[in-house]
Amino acid sequence: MSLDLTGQPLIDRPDFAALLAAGHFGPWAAEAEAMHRQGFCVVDAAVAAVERHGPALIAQLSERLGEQLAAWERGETGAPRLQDGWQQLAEIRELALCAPILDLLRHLYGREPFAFQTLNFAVGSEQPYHSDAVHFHSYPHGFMCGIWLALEDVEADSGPLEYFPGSHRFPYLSAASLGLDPDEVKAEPHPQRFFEPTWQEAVRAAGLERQIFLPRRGQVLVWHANLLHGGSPVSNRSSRRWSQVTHCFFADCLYTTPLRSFCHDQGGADLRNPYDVATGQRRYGSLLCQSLGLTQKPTVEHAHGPDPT
Amino acid sequence: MAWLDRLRPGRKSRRPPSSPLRGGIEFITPSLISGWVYHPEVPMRQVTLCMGEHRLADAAIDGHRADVEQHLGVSGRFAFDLTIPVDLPLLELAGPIQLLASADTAAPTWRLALIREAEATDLRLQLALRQEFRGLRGHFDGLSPEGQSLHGWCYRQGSSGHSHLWLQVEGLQPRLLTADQLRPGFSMAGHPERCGFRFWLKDWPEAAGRRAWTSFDRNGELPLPQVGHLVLPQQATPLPISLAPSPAVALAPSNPQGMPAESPLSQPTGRRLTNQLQDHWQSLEAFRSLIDQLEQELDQPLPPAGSPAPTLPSSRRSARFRLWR
Repeated sequence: MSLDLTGQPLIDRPDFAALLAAGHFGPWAAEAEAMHRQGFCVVDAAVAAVERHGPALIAQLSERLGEQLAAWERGETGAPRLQDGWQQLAEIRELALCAPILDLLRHLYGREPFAFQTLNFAVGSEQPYHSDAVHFHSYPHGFMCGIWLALEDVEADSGPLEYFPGSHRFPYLSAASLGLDPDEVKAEPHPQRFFEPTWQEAVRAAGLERQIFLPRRGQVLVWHANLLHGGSPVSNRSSRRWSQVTHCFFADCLYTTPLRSFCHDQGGADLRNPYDVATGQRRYGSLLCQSLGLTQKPTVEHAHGPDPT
Repeated sequence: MAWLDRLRPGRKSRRPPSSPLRGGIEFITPSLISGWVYHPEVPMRQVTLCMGEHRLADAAIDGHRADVEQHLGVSGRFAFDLTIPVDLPLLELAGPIQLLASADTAAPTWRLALIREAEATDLRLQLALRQEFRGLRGHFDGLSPEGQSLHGWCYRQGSSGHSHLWLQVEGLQPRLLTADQLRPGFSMAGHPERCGFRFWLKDWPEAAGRRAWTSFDRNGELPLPQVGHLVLPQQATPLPISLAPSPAVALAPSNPQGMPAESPLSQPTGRRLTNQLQDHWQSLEAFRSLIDQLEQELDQPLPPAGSPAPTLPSSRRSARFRLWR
């Protein structure tokens, strides 16, 4: 595998309008324009896959998350979820590799996408809004996106996904760009907290308005690496919000954890070797891993968890 | 992988044998690689910085350079400025570091070398990507207009601290310089104002008559861009004593060695106004130094015995010259 650290996603390029006019995005022109302008797009491309796999998946998740759900309803724990369930449940893997969605991403970004992480939710996460690009990002920038898939219709009282259209144009942040102290970051169990005031101030200054996603079963929201999003408050604890989030990277990049990436003299970028859900293997081979100074990480990588509050 | 096939070095079988590439690299710095490329048959479109089989950065060959067009006798866009991103993660991948030029079709690629210094290309590219130099940029302007000092500018992108560089004089040990002097007008283009450096020739009399350059590294292998070779004068040339600045001094260019106006290294802003401000400032600074000298002489006690001449209060002096500082 060779790295290509040049260029940027087609949807982020300065000549996006020319690319659009030239038909670069094929059947996905409207979605490309929405991603470019708003930082997200909504498609019905996974309806068939959800009809096929959704019911069985919800049944299995109900069984696995049952106890945690009961505890959550009693207010004893945070929102339950299953991370990287693709390693155990074939339905999750099938949905993560939904061909029309990957075709969409291929057109929008101009590189080959690969899913590297899945999260399955039973209820609203109530997670403060954030940019995924501080948790996992790429070099060159922008070659990461999130896919939010509704396994059933979402009601307003279940804590739907919330997001701020246009926030994807805010600068990408990292521990280095905020001048964070490595020791402080290491000591904080949820380093996302360091970034939240910056996002809140940016949203206020830009006057961006919050929107919520109330999809029908099978609808998908694809969000830009830097789109601010989170989980709105759950007002009805008996309601469910069965959903699957798949995080995707794109080929031939370096993959980083920006909230643990510091200036060169403080350790530099925190590189990661993500899984490729399609192959079940790490993306980089041992030779490249060695060159990049990467050691094999634990089987299950840590995603950004819910805020402890 | 299509791009890799196109860029893979050593595909000489597809290289037009009777059409030599002209041009190459002019400057290699830790933040920018500049040059020009022309091929009479193949329209060159892109340069790519590679480390082994990995692509690190690229840039279009699309810059106008009047001097190059004149040199070639051909009109076109032949210049390139490849930025090495300051946030490019540090890599130690296998394989040589190369700058390759290519056309936009499935065409051969050419490995570029420094013009007139081809043998230094590999080492400079390696140094330019080293951690300690990451993000550094600058320019050695050469002799200042008054002929008594060397000057230029240097800073590290993304850093608020002052940068250091080395003054190299052939046959002598290098001297460390700090780029912390005012360069008015630089901030107009997003550069720090205090990134200038100046070295007075009187402080290094052994350097007279020798070749001088500046470098990012102590060994002098990664020089700051400059135009041509600079040989220091045998002795510093004082300004003619005059209470009024001569038009020649006031209008002297900041770069007496004639850096082409199009060079992004001599003109990081690309704005004529910025350079004009620098020129004016440097001329005024020279004139201010002259006035300071005259003032000091006037402040000396008169030769005949008697009461000393009154000295000028420092506040008055500051007020007098504040516009020039």
